[in-house]
Parts: sequence; C-alpha cells; structure tokens
Amino acid sequence: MSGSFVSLRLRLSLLLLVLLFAAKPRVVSAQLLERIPGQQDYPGVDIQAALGWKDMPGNGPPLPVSMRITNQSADVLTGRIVLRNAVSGEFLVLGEVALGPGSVRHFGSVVGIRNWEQCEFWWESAEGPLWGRQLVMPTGVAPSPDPALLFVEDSERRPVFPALPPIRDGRISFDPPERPPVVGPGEPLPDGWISRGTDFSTVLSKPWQMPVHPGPLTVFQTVLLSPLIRVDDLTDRQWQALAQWVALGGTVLIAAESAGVLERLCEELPCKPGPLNHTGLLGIRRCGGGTIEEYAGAEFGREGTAVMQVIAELASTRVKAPLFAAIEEHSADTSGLFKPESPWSDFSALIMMVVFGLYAAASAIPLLMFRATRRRIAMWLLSVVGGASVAAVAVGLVLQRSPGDVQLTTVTQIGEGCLVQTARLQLTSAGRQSPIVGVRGIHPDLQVDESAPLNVASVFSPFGPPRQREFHWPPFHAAPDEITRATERDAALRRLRLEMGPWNRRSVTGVDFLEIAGGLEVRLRAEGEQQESEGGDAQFPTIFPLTTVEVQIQSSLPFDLRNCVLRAVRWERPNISDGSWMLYRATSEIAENVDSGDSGQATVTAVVQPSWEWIPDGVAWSNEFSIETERLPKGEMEVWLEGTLIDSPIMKVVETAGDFKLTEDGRHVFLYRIPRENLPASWRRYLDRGKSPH
Amino acid sequence: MNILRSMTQTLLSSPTWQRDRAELFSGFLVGLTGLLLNGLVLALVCFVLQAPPSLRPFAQQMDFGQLIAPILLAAMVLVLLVAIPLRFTGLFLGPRLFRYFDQIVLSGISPLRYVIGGVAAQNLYFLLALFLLVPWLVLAVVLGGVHWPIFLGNLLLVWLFCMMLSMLMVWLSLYMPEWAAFGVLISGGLFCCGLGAAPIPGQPMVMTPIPAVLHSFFTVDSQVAAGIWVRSYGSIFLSSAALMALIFSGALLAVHLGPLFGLIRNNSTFGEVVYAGDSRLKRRLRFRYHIQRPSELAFFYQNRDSWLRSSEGLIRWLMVLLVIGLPAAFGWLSLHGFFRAELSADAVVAADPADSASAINAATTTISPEYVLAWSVLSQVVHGVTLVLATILFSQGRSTTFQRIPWVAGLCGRVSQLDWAGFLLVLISSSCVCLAGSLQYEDLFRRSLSPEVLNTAASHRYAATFADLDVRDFSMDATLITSACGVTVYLLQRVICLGCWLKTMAATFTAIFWFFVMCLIPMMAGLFLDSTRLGVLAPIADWGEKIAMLSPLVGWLERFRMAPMSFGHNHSLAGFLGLQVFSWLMLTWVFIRRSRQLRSEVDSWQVEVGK
Repeated sequence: MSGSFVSLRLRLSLLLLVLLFAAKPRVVSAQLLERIPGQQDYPGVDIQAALGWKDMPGNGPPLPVSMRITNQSADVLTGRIVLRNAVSGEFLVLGEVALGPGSVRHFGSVVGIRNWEQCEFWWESAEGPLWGRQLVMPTGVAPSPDPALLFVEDSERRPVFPALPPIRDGRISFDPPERPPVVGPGEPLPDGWISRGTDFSTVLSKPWQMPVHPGPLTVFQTVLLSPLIRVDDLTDRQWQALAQWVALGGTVLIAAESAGVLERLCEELPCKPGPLNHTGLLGIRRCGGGTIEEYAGAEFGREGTAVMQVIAELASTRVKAPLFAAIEEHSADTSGLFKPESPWSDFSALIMMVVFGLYAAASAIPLLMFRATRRRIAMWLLSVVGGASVAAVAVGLVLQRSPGDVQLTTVTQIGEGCLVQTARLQLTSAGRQSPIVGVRGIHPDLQVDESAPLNVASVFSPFGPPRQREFHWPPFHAAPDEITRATERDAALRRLRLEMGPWNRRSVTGVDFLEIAGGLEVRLRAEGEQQESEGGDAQFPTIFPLTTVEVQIQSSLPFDLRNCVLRAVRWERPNISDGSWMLYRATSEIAENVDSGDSGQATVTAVVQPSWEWIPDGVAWSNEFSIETERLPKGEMEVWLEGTLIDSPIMKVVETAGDFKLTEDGRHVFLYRIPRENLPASWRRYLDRGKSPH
Repeated sequence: MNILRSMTQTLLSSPTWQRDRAELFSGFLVGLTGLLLNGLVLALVCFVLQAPPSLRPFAQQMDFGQLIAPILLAAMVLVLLVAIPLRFTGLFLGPRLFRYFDQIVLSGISPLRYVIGGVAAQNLYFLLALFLLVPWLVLAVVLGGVHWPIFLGNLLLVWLFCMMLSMLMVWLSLYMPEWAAFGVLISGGLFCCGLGAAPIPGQPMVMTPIPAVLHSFFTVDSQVAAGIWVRSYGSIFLSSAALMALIFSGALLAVHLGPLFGLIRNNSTFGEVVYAGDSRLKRRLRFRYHIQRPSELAFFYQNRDSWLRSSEGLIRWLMVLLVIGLPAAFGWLSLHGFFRAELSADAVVAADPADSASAINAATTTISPEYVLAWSVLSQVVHGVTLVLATILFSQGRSTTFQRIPWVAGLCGRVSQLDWAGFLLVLISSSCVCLAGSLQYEDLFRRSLSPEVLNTAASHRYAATFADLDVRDFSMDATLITSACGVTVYLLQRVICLGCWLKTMAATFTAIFWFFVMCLIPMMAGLFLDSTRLGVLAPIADWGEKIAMLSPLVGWLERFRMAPMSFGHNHSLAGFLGLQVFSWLMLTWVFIRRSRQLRSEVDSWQVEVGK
C-alpha cells in the first residue's frame, strides 16, 4: 500500500515537472503576444517578436521588426516571415528564415507601415504556417518633439534619473544652493521655475530588439548602453546600424569599463573617431556628426549619483540631428503638391496625349459627314481606328524606351573625420514599368520612402506646418533584395528597382559617408575679446552679449564652398516676470566663395554684426522658425556655417546605370556645426549659466 | 434548335432591329460616340497623370495596363449610360410623332417582338464602342500590365449592364414619356455608379459594373480600404452578374405583360380620348393628350400573345410586392446593421467586448438617448416610405380600377380587390416589422432612458426631455400614428383615383390635400391658439394643444419629444385617432358611392363591347 502510494506520488511529481517544463515557453510567449484564433503553432517553435518602440509613435518613422526564433523541434524549419494586416489584406514579406533543430536565431528588418489598424506576424513554410501572433502596434504619441533616450538594457531594470537643475529668474545660482522643487511626473513646476532643456522620455529595448538599420534609431537623440551589455548581445548588423546612426548625428553613451563594446562600435564606424576629450564626468569622442560619450559604469543606476545627473542633463539638452530635416527643407517638392522639373517625363506624356487627342478628334469627324454614305463612314472609322492602333504601337515602344527624371538634392554635413551626406531623389517616371535608378557613392544606403502624401488642407492651412519636417528617416520597407549591386567589381554603384506606375512620382532617401583627411575649422571671436579664457573671475552675463563677431574659416576640403552664411539660433527668456521663452535667430552672410584652389587650403576672415530676429514660443510652429523650435531644446544655442556646393561630393546619379535622367533643379547644401569651444568666450559663459557644477 | 431559330427570326424581323442596324453607321452616332468615349478616356487618363497627392498611392502601385483597363471600362459604362437611353427616346415617340403607330398596332406585331429588336441592336452599339477603344487597348498591351481574365470578366459585366439598361429603358418607356424615362434612368444610373465607386463596406451597389471595374483600386492600397470590408473580385463579379441578369429578366417579364391601363368608353377609339370639358381648355392644357399615350399603348398591348396571361394578376402583384419589399428589406437591414454597429462601439460593455451581440443584450448595457431617438425616427421613416410606395403602386386610375384581369388559372378578379389585399398585406407586415424592431431593443431603451442613466453627466441634457417617457408607448404610438396616416392616405388616394386617369396625378393631389388639410391646418391652428395672447381667444386657448395633436406631424414630434417647450408630454392620441376614423368612414362612404357609378359604367361598356 505504502509502496504504491510512493509510486503514485513519484508519478504525479514527474507528471507535474513535465507539465511545468512543457507549459513554460507557451506561458511566456502568451504573455507577450496575443494568439490568433485558430492558429496552431508548430510543436517546439517559440518566437519573441516586437514591432516598433513601446510608447513611441508608430505612424511616421520607420519601425524596427525584431524577432528571436527558437526551434526546439527535431526538424529543420524553413519559411518566410510575413507581416499581414488582416483588416485590409495588405502584407509584407520580410525574408526567408531557415533554422536547424535546437537552434536560436535573431531576425530583424525595418518596415514603413502606416494606417495599419493591426498587424499579424507569421512564419510560413510551404506546408503552412509555423507560428503566428498578433503583434502589439506602437500607438504612442510621446515623445515627439521632445528628445528621447533609448536605453539598451541588460535586464528588466530601468534607470532612474534625478530632477534636472532649474533656472530661476534667468540665472542659475548654486550659492546658496537652491533645492530643485519636488514634483511628480507631469505636474507643473512652481511659478518662476523652468527646467533647462526639454523633458525627455526613456524607451527600453532588449538587445535583440535593436534594429538592423540606422533608420529606426533616428527618432532618438541619445542611446544609452547598459554597463552590463556584451559584444555578443548585438549582431554585426545591429552594431553596424548603431555605428552609422552615431555618424549621422546620434549620441551613444557607453560605460568606460566596457572597452570591448567601445572597440566593437568603433570597428563599424564609417570613419575614424576623433581623440578622447574629458569634459566633467564624461569622455567624449566625436565621430562624423555624432559623439560617443563614456561614463563611469560603476556608479550607473544608483539614484542621485553625479553620473545619472550628467546623463539626464545630456539627454535633456541634446540637439536633434539636422540632416533629415534639412533635406526636407531643401528638396524642391517637400509637400508633394508641386511637381518637380521633369522634362523627359512631360515629353513622353505629351506624345501620348497628342496622339490620342488627334485620335479622339479624328473619331469625332463623322459628326460632320452627314452627307456621306454608310460605307464611307465605315471606311473612315476603320482607317482611323487602324491608323490609331499603329500609332499606339509606336507610342508604346517610344514610352517603353523613354527615360524618367530624377532630381537630386543633397545635404552634406562636415563632421569629425568624414562627410555625412543625406540625399533625396525625387523620381518622376515615364511609361516604363518598374524603372531602375542608379546611384554611385561610397556605400550608398538607398531606401524608397513610404511617407503618406500631405493633403492640400494641411499644407495651405495657416494653422498647419508650412512644410513637412521630420527629424527622422522617412518610413521605408527594407526589402533584402531591393538593392542590388550593379556588378561585383563596382561595389560603389547601387541600382534600385522602383515599383511605380507610369508618370508617377516617388521619393528615395539615401545616406552615405566619405572619410576625409582634411576638414573645416571655423572660429568666432567677439570684438574686444583678447583672451578666450573661461575661468578666472569672468562673470556669467545675465543678458546675451550683442557684439560684433569676427569669423575665421580655414578649409582644407576637397571641394569649394559657395554662399557661406552664419546661422545662429538660441532660446532665451528675456522677460523674467512672465516666464515665456523667445527664439532668437540671426543669419549673416560671410563669403560668396571659399575656394580651396590648387593648394587645397583656403582661409577667409569676415566681420559680421549678427542681427537677431525673434519670435515667442508657441507662435514659432506656424512659420519658418518651426524647424529650430522643434530641434533646439530650451536654453540652448547652436551656430552653423551653411552654404551650397556646385556638385554632390558623394552620391551621384549614374544615368547610364538606370532609367532616369538627372534634372538641373537639384540643390547641394553643406552644413558645418561650429563646436562650442570655437564660439566667443562671452557667448559660452552666457550659455553655461544653467549648467550643473559637474 | 427550332426555338433558337424562331428566336433569331423574331429578333431579325423586328422593325426596331432593322431601324437601329440601319442607323448604326450614321455620322451622328459614330462621331458622337467617338467624341464622348475617347474624350472621356483622355480626360480620365489626364486626371490620373496629374493625380492629386491623396490619389497617388493608387497610381504608383499599378502598371499602366492595370490603370488603363478600369479607365476604359469605366468610360464605356458612362458613355453607354448616356447613349443607350438616348437611342431609345424614339421607341414609341417616333411612330407616334410621325403618325404610323396605328399601323404598327394594326399590323398585329406583339409589343415584345417590337421592342426586343431595339434591345438586341444595342449589342451592335456595344461592339462599336469596343471597336473605338481598340487603339487604347493596343497601347495597354504594348506597355503591359493588363490582367486579362479580370478585364474580360469586367467586359462581360459591361455587356450585361448594356442589356439591362436597354431593357429598363423600354420598361420605363411604357409607364412614362421617353424623355422622362431618359432622365430617370440616367439620374438613377449615375447615382448607383457614384455609390458603386465609393468605398462602402461590402459594396452592395452591384447593379452597375463599377464596383467590379474599380475593385483593383480598393485592393491595391489600404488607405482607402482601411477599416472597411472589401469583398473579393469573384464575389462582386457573381453578385453583379446575378443582379443585373435578374433585373434584365424582371424587366423583360414586365415588358411582356405591359402596363395595366384599362380601356373604357372614353378612350375606346385609338388615338382619341373623350374627356368632358377638355375642348374648352387651351391646347397645351388639354388633358386628353396625356391620356392618349397610355391608351394607345393599351391598344398596342392587345396584340401580346397569351403566354402567362392566365396568371397575369398574380405575377403583377408579386412583382409589385417585390418592388415594395426589396427596398423595405434593404432599409430595415441597413438600419439594424448600422444600429448594431454603432451600439457595439458606443455601448458601455459589461460583457465580452469582442462580442457585440452579447454586449447589446447585456443586462447593464446602456446607450446614449440620441441613439434611441435616431432609431425611432429612422424606423418610422422606413415604415412611412414603405406605405407611400404601397399607396402609389396599389392604386389605379379610373380606367383601370374596375378592370377585370385573370388572377390565377383563368380565375378573374377586379384590380381594385387585388389592390386592397396588397395594401393591407404591406400595411400589416410593415407595422409588425416596425413594432418588432422596436420591441427587440425595448429593454435596452428602457435602461438607457432610466433616471439613473439620464442623470449622468453624458446624458444629463436629455433628463428633462425623456424623464416621463414610457418606452413601449413611445414605439407603439409612433407606429400607430404612421400606420393610421397610411390608411388615411391610401383611402384618399383611392377616392381621388376614381376621378383621375393617371395615378401619379392622383398621388400629387392626395399629397397636397393630406399635407395641408390633415397636417398643416390643425397644427397651425393649434399652435396659434396655444400661444395666442388675444383676449377673445383666451377661453379656448387650452384647446390649442388638443387641436394641434390632431395633426400627425405634431403627434410624431410630441412622441419624439421634439414638440415646442410649452407643450406638455404624453398627450392622448384619442383626438387624432378619432379624426382618422372619421376620415376613414367618410372616405369609404365616398369611395363606395362613386365606385358604384363607375363600375356600372365600366360593366355596361364591357357588356356592350362583348356583344
């Protein structure tokens, strides 16, 4: 009796153990994603999948699709990854995945879906679906336009950031120390207290959720890597995406102790990073348009530590990278309402309209043949239709061979060690099916925009933004086979096949980097300033110093600069009593030409008196100031050298490699952000009023 | 084989076939078709090339062939919609205008044989239009992208549409002058094509080929189809083909049976109508010209063959019931569908949110009083429109009311008796459906109009309005008012019809009389008395509300809580019902009195003719 009872208990325990082990993966996956009714999973397959970023807007930026596939079955499984909108019937094939028994694989892609009410994720083999779930759609509205920080975590913990130091009455005063007011999230600050910078939101990501393309990362200004993250946590493509995003203007924070991680990131950078400079608690390396900043990992995560204070301040005051907004601003047809110049496309359309217009007119001529016999009318009809059919064949052949038009607009940022270029190709097709555009660069990354066209009401409304200005990469579907190299030998040439109808328009955004030895140095010196010292007994000015500025440009760039202007923009709170902010902007012409000549060197000096124009906060969104109001956090200042180039220095359209001819109305703009240390000392002191003592 | 040969013979020997075939290659027809068709295609292509940004997603995902195939077919549909009714405007008008219609009648040709040639000749016109599109098709073939099975399927639907349009035009021409039929058909066709092009969930407007032609647009981009149910092409094709074939067959049967227009002594001579006092009127006002056309058609229909003649009454009344029942069913189903869809979104769901049916029936679910009101008003509108249709279709002019027609298996009955039966059937059915619909949601309405719900923040503005409302009375009274008005209007129409040759004219008189005498006068008088400050009228000022309540308009408004603020709630309907019953008795008395006289005239004349 006792023996059988023990045996029963043993059997029950074993059964319980088996059930626990068997049930565990299903419970985990069920907690993450909703099961599709009627869907049966392939036994042993478990997938963790995520679309976009939680709490971030899903209708606009490109969204990362990340998945971690586990195959515990004894079979080799092969299938295609499909995203499907069951409501509208749309679907996107992301690629093929093959998985051996007992293996785990990460798969990632980027999609530019818009107006999807729901999204189903399917892994489908030829025999049927292997796994399917309803993905959680990103529907957040925050944090745009506020800066956002992406924390790539090692575990479930979330960093806790302290309150930011306040500015009171336009000045910061640390002596006697003022305690920042204690307010909860979303509560307003007491009267007279305004934080420096902008409130930022933190988005959490597991390493496997990191995108495989820099596009989705462009919604963030800062990425914070956990001190515990390892090199193996990210795949090669994820490291590459992160490095390209840094070169595009992002800021990545890495624990100083994670030397391997830093090294791995630097390997993937498109250009050599600059030297390490220590500023307070952070070690800063510039690379392209962005920076890699090292923090003390030992103190990370502890509440109230100086490191957390510095990271919070950095994230709060980080300026949005300008490249994508600038390309929106400078390309001729940002609204999509006005046609860019398209002579070839217009010509082919004209041929068709003329031929068929003549046919319509000829077919109406029997209206005048009221005295003609039926036989004569029939003969006329036959000859007109026959002739028009022959003409239609000729028109069709002409249309098949007629090229489309491409307008190339580029924005080149002169960064640390390299040129960073974004390009917008506005393509107008002729009659050809699925035309190809060829672009030569260094390693051009071309993606077809899936942005929704603006409607007329929002573009012309006095209450709407005058232009579509997004700071992130326009939405796109990263299809693995979409971009092909022209030949194995010519790695710099990309040919992109576009799914577009006749006489239609599409837009392609490209990014490329060019490593350069020389560079550009611009120094500003306020009139009367002899020494550029910051320490000593220099006072923090309470109002902005409106002085004449001497601008010195030293260029060793491989191209000439044209129409150089100095652009300065800053937020200030001139009227202390009402606490409102004003945006100040100055644009001063510096030089018509900065030609490097045969020596490859050019030096230009100019004296300018910046004339500041201003507009109150809250009004700025409705006019051309809007780009600065959204890009620049409160209390910050930025100074840029801007001009034009005669030709694009990196990406060029190769007409012989595609079906499009280049139009002449494209623009090539360059941007150079003047580092803070090259600004006049009095400006720097004014700007440092609100900084924390760290 | 013999049947096929005889049918071909019938078609080819039809005078309208020969006339249309001869006119096909006229300069006017060929030139006008070429101009309209090619101009429209060119305009549509231009529109697509210069597509506004909102339409760009359509165009950028489609090949030229995919784009041009729907454009060609849509242009063809629009041109056929105008050209085919236009080509039929001379069907009866031509012979009547050139004074040879009597020869056609006397030739003994059956009406169906006469008109079917014209319908068949539209195939030649369809081929002419298709031939004119050949260069466009060649261009599409050279550039590629046409999905030929779908194109051919759509072409078949366009051909069916062409046939349906021809037969409908012939059918309408039997009941109204060709110019009026032309206007009705074109406006109705454009309305259906417009709705067919709209992104409606499930797209029920499949009586034109437009939903099938534009189907590729709705499936290529989700922006338009977002959130709506887009049916598959096969489903739309089959439903379109079936519905158009059904309408064609129905129209063919109706053309075979012809209009029900009786011949009595006054119009018993072909081409002449004797109408007392008509000669004293100015020529353009003489009434007999309006009666002449249906009378001549009635003579023409004496030539029809005997097929289905023995069951003519049953077929006619079943068709009328179908014409009334289909729109009514469509109305009720749409109302229920929209209401349930709104409810599932709006209801405070206590049960499973995914199950709209259980959400609506949940014991604690409530909805906004707006929906209660909307349901009640719309259900009365559907009920009222059904009764109006029944009133018009189940009444006949003085020449037809007492005509005897074979009912079933040669059993004869008077048209008037069948009309009474038909109207009563519709009245009872529609009232029952209306009441049942309201009673279905009674519990929900009761909860939604309870003081607890009305005092909440969302519904507080309705608190005073619906405070003392009894839900059951609310639904039943409104239905009672509508049904009682239906009976009054029908009796009025039948009485006026005894003096009118055309029932459309009788319907106009009925509407004017009912609206002004039964609705407007009591309402104005009552409201005036209710709000007057004249000392003379002060003693009877309290009668104001009671007099106003004699009007059905005030009855509906009061029951729906839309009456003026000074009006009290829950007035008795006794006065209104009393007036209605009195009207019924009076109208019945007049009807019986006048119908005796007319019936004796008709019977005596028929006996005379029989002799």
